[in-house]
Amino acid sequence: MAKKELLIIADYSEESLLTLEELCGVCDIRIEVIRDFVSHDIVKPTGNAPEEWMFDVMQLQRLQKALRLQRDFELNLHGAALVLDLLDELEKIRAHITLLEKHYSKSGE
Amino acid sequence: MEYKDYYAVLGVDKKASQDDIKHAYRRLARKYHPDVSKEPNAEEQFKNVQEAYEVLKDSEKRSAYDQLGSNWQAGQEFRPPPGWEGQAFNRGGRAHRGQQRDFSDFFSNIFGGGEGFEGFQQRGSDQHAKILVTLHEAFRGTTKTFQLQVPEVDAAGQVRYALRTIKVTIPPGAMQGQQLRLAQQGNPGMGGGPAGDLYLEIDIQSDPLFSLQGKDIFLTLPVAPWEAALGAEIKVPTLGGPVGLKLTAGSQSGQKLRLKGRGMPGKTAHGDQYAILQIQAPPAHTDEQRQLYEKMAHAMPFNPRKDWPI
Repeated sequence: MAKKELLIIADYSEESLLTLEELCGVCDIRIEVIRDFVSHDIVKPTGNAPEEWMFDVMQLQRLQKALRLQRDFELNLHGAALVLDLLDELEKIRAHITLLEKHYSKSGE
Repeated sequence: MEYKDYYAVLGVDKKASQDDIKHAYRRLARKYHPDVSKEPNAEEQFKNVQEAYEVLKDSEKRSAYDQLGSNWQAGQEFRPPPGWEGQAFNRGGRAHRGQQRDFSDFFSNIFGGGEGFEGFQQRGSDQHAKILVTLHEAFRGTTKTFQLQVPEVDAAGQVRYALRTIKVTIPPGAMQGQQLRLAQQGNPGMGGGPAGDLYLEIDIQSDPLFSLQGKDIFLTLPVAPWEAALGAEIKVPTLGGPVGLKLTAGSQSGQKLRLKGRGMPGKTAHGDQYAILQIQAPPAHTDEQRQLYEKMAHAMPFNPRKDWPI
């Protein structure tokens, strides 16, 4: 195995996008599984046809999360999608509460 | 290596049925799964639960584990009985697709795994690191240099730890939780499998003054009652520097005033800043101050509780 570079230069403005094949490799799953996730709007690639699909890191992590939920809670696709949506909602609400507590309910100062 | 009491981890009896074990696992998964749990150490806890379930749900592994005997205590120094290496398992959870497992030394010693062996390839696990930045750094953009300890496999196939320096450029307008993926810079693979990826996640520290919501910035704007009633020109801090804000006469607490385009920079559009009005009542300390309030009470027919039924 090749020796790793000791210095890594990284830049957030160079967003790395993955093709369908790369996504399969990274998640160690078959193409059909990803197609299923896309057709159920769980992950949203850019591009129309599967050959043009590109996935950003956010979609990759969403897919990994969905796979973890499926595996660890023994859920089917719809169950995992539901949990993901509810978790998104929960995160939004938590952020909103933090905001309200900080800017609307200062008391006794 | 330490002995692991898998029955205790799942909180089940040694005679528990497969159903009991499944139930116990599911209950603990709901409690500790890092994707849904807010428990401290959820990740660590869940790893233990997963490992225990991996062994106890499989009758072959469970009976092998039971053969170790029941005189062991959790955490006790453990050595496998002589001849144990001869046991063959179908590589436990490694056969599953789309997952990476990182079980204890105890597990790898009893059930295999760890070192690669002939004809067996596995992609290395991903590595995650957080980059702490202040809100101001996220707004202006910044460069961060830090060191990360990474395992690598040397020519002899031994895993060693090496220190790597990572220099990362963060452009203006980074988002909370934004991730950068560095392909194949994670942990080394086994048996010639590819390395995992390295993920760098931006963690924007909370600011005492400003709050970040997506690309928008929120700020509390404290004002005096006369400023709210009569209107005022107020200098308001933004991440890009102070700007003038015109408060119209008759403003009320809780109102949200928008400063367009004064939020985080974005690729297509900038976020906005919202100033949330908070009217503060000055305390009356002196006689003169008290008289002023009394004067107001007489001169202004004002009942803040006019909507109450009593």
